Amino acid sequence: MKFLKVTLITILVLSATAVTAAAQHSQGDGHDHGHEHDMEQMQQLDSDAISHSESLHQVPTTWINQNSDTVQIKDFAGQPLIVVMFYGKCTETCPMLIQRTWKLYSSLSEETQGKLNVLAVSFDYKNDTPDALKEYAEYEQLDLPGWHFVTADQTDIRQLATLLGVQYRERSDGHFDHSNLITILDNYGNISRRIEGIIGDLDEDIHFIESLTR
Amino acid sequence: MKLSFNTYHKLTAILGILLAIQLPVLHAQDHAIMIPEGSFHSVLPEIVGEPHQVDAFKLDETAVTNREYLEFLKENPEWQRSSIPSLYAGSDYLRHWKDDLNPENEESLNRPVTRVSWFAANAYCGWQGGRLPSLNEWEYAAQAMDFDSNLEANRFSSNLIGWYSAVDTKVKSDVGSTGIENRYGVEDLFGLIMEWVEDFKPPIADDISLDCGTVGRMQGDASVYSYAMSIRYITRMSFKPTSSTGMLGFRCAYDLNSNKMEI
Repeated sequence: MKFLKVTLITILVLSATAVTAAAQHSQGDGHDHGHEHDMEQMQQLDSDAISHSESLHQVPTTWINQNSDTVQIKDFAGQPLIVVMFYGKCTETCPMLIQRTWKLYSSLSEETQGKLNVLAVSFDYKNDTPDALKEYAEYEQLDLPGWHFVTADQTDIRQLATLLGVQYRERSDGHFDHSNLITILDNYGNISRRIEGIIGDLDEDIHFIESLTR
Repeated sequence: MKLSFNTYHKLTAILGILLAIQLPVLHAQDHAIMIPEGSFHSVLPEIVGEPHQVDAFKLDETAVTNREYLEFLKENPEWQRSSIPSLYAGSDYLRHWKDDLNPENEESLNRPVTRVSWFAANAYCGWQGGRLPSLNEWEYAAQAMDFDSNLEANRFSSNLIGWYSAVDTKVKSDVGSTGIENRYGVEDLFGLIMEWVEDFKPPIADDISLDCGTVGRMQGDASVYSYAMSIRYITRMSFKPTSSTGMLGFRCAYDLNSNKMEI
């Protein structure tokens, strides 16, 4: 339904823009500043809706975070978002991946930190309940404002992973084989940077995120 | 307890609505076949030599047809060709349809729907109260084939390899037309189309490319059957979730206790 809404809004905005433009045209040079302002706003909306059709803000999933609050990716529209996928029981690479995410975040200026969020999505929909995620966030000392450790239905988690290009497979011992990836979404929800692996220098990535919030 | 007239009517109305919601779900699962729990040998085993354990689940008897997919599009216009965002499907999505709600032609209605992205296949199965089968579920169901002799099994596998090497064409047959059926009555798992699964690209995919050496390195006995399976795994890993070919469709799976009403 959401896409339908987006489409309808786009059509409405387009026709409204056309009507406004036509009205202004018939008024000659159109001194009506109110109208002009409306039109600018509408064109802005309009171009956002069309040119960002690969935006992850379209993902309709409602996530539940470690405080049992609901979160949607579109809630972060207008700000960059750091997305990382992990699971709580993971004792091998995940703490490193989450610590790497922290290293990235903590290297940003305080001002930038205040302008972005971190979405840490668990693969483990069975065990990583909001309570378990709370425990995990506290254990990792990352139960911070702007940090969302989240869960959702299995199919929602798989869908996000597929969108990001994160591969994972549950093993019979309850652990997961998975890719190690940190993804940066820009203000419009587009994938703007992928940081692969759990080692390596983050300087360029830090610089990149700083440039997004400027 | 006595219900007032008003309450009674409200309850009837609510019950009616609940039933109406339930109907498509029941309908979808009418055609799903119970697959009992068991295990199978994968060419990508977790532990070398150990079989994969699979829980019982239900699987559609046939692949989803153009006719069925059309119903989904009517009720979910956001998945129609002109509305779907590029996030979820490339320009090849349903390219062979005449327009948003018109499949190729009358004859194509009972053919499997193809050129459907992984995201759209997911959405369809969710709408039916199910999900895409996992890779292991699909493989387990597909390997539940009974052959009269080794000779017959080998002949089947040889045909399969030939078929896999030509899957880039376009499907021209109805569902149920291959005559290939597994032990439980699931049809056309081979010989009609390739099918989307939930985790078509397991984490190992990055290390594997389609070459003979790779096929050789994949686990499995030396049989033609294993060889065909390796080709299938590797082909599947090369899929892109937003795009699909004229030979790639899907069918849905359901948890045994899947029932939207319980939530």
